[in-house]
Amino acid sequence: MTDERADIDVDKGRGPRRDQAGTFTYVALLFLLSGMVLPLLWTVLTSFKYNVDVTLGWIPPRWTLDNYVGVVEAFSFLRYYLNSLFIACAVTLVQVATSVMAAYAFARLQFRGRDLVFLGYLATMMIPSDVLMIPQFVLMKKIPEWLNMVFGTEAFGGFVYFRHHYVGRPVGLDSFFALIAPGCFSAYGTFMLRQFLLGISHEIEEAAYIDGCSPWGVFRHVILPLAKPALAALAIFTFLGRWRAFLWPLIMIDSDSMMVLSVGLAKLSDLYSNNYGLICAGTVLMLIPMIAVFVLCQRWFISGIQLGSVKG
Amino acid sequence: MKRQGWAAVGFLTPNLVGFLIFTLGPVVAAAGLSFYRYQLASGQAPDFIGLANFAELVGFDRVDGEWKALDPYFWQYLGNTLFLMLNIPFSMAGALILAVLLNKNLKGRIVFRTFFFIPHLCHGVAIFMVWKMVFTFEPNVGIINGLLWSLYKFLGIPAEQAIGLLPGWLIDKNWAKPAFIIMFVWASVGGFNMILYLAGLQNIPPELYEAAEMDGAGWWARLRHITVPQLAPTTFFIFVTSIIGGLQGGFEAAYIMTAGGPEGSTTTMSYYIYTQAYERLEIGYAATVSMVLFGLIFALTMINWRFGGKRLEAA
Amino acid sequence: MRFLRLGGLVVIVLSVLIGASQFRLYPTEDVLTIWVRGTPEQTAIYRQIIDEFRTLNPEAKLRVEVMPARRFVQKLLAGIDAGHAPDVFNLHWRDMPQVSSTGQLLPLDELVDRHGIDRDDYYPVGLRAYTYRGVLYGLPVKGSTISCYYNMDLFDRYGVDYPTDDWTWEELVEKAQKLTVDEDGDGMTDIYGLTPYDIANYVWSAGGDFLRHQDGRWVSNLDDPKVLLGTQFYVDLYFKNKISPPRPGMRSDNPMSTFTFEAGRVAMAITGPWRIPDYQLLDRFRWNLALVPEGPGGRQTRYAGSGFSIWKDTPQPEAAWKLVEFLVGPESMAKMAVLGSDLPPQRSVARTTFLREGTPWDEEVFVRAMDYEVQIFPQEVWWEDLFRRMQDELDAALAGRETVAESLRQAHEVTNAYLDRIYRDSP
Repeated sequence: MTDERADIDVDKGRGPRRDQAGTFTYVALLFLLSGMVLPLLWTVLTSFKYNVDVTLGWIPPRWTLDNYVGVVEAFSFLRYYLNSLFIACAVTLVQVATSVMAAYAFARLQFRGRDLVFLGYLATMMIPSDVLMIPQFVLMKKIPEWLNMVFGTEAFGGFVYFRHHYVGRPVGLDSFFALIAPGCFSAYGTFMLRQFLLGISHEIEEAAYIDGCSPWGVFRHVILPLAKPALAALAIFTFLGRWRAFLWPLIMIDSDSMMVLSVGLAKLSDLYSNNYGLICAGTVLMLIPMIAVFVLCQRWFISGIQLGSVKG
Repeated sequence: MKRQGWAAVGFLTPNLVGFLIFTLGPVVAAAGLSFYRYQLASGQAPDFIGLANFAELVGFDRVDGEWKALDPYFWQYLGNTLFLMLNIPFSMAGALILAVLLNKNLKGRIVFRTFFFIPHLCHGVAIFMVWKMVFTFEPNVGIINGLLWSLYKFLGIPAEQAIGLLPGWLIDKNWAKPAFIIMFVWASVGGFNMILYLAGLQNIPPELYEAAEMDGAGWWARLRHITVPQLAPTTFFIFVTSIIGGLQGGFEAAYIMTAGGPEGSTTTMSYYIYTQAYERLEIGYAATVSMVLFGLIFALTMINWRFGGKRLEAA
Repeated sequence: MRFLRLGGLVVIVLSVLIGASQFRLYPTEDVLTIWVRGTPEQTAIYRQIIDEFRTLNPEAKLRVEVMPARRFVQKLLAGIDAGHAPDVFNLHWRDMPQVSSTGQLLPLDELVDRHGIDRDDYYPVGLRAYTYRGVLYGLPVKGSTISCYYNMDLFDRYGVDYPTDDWTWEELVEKAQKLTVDEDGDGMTDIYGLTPYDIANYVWSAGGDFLRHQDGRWVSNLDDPKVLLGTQFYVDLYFKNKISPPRPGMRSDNPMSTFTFEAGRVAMAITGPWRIPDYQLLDRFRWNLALVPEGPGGRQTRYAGSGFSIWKDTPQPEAAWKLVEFLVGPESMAKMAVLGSDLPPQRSVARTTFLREGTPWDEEVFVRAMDYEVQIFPQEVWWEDLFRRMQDELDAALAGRETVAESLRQAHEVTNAYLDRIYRDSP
């Protein structure tokens, strides 16, 4: 069942005309839209320009594909792309799972100290990352040392080579672990989903409890289907956030074999020389997965109420 | 309702364990740094100085019968940051209206949503560059001033006078901040907030609207009495994250468009923290700035929680 | 479906097992890590140079990583703070005070002398930029200063003589005024005469400086009438003569305006050789290079360069030094010079390798420019922060809100208050 079909069916079933968009809506949206596409247009056009032509108006006076070639050659483009994709997908999957469980506890379960723990979550979001970076860096450096101490080995500390290619450490700095693990447990996602779950009416849930459901049963069969739009939203945010994250991978990763695309894009410029054509070509190539995820996730933006009651 | 402590532990554990290790630990350490004088990377042990950093940051001193801030730049940049946060109410209202519009049954809805989200997908450089062109002072280049210039011409104002009437968007300290606010509103109106509102709208039972329609409630009344209250938890989330983003943000935009000028009018707190931590290497002082910011965000959040969020949550 | 899933699982497990059998653990110590940065063209050449080093020294285990310029220092300092840093790394001259003040760089004086590096062959400003409190902490790999690019077509069209080697500030203004034109007569300037680079060059060329040493510490020198002269000249370019396109304050180097030299909308652009790789693609107009004009205090311009430093705690200082010596040596410099954007740090090498065959513009200008006074900023951790605040005060004059003298007086007070606080905190 596609998104469009579902909504149309819903509207037909309910009948009221108010959900049908009028001409005014279209005009208003199109007007706003024209302003929104400007940066995209500029990016795409600039990606076909030589750097000396960037300031010469919007249309390239000389079209060139050099920038695309340049981006692919400037660093191990395919590897960065796959790394980014892998990290973004892994973090998204785990983060959405852990967040929705914690959010359910905060929003729907009664327990001592609930608001206090939740406030603790909230508070950690309020510390700027520039300062947080320093202790986080030390922590990442210490983790393999601690693990070595506990297990009495050296295995967590050394460099790992695959044939002749350096592939980083198993844990700690300069490892995939550093890129993925901290992103999996997010105060942001928990907070967001909690707020969303608060908005779901209690009646269905109470009916399930009366039927003898356990909290897990309620979570699985009532809350999760209803939370679909919010999960989709969080998935979009997490994926985009990880896909574009710059500072964290830059600080954590040294090796080319684990580097991500957003950092690669920054490698295209030096302090004084910004090659905007190159940057834009890189941006265009980076856009594709983001748009794909955004469009795909929207299939989940179906009215949760409708879905819940159909299934329930 | 009965207590569900054990179930809660089960649901919380996966997130809480990682949260304690990767987030809370470093946060506590960072908070602790604000009580030390610590030169980054100097290899010297941190020097405990109690509240001296805080005194230095927010303190005042009486010089020649006049109260003077010990760190005037902190206040200036804080003022800039708070001023730039004026975009938040506009962004939030815009996002809500847009979400309501895009939740209607229109053709090509996904295309519309995607295009409104485009500013969030593009590289910051592209956005700031385009807006730099929009805000260029010369009417033969800058789009806004170009329109104003034609208007002045139409009204018959002579050229010499008309130049004086053009806003100096990025080159005048009084116009730089409004220019940034316009840009921020534009960039955020179709972004995360709209997506959140869209997700929230799916949750409102249609019966509520139907009942209201029976009572003859108009478009505005429905928005005011059903949509807005029903979305209150989402709004609380957007409010808190916007405050956090607002107080911690602005570095990139300022860096590319104005480098923090003119006259420091677009320098924000994040710029200040960065320079204190990684240029001056005073990481203890930077932690102090962070803690003061944290206090501000926390206070604003609690006010909203007490007077807005809580009441609605109980409902 | 179930079968597919099972198959997938088997494939994953098998590939992990096969992969794991190929993994080997190396001890951390014997690998030498090098971080380089630059444009893709520059880093590609660094890689070539290091590959050559590998063939000459097959025993060396090297790990080369290219790092972005953005937030590079943050990454480096966070790493050094936790004891996790590269052995050899590229440092921009303006980042030197920050990094060397931590005391985490290997002093190079003794190594330089022992290996017979000819200090006198280096441009002195390059070595000065890599010296902190009298100790050499890095060797420059490139270093240059600014010159004036001019659009010959525009000069011809408006009948202006090309700049000569002995031109002065007055001539600069005179030429720029002739080249600031409103082509279509709508009351708006279509072509500007000049983008002047930053204010420091003009303060220095007027014979002034921002700070001066007094009683063993820095104090503000903004009350010097020569500073007023230079600042007045600079502000007049924008405010009185209107020969330079408006900009968002002095801090911004206005990287992206439609009024650029390459768009043909600015007749003269004062900037460094790093623009050459871009400008050599220009086919819309002919251009050439000239020395910057002479001010009342001579021709004094700002240095820009980059170099290599070694981490103090590197396990193999000798190997690291060998690499640095090779990286800044004449052979590798010759490779770098092909780009046209990087002037070698040694006088002898610059004269021989930097000039390329068959370029229609006078590239030698950048070599000659190094023979005049080339200045650096005070080598202090707080300088960048302070300089921003000075510029913020001067912006009021740039906007025409205050006179230059008035804003300089403000900046003077702000600077001294700032410095007082610095010296009170750390005597």
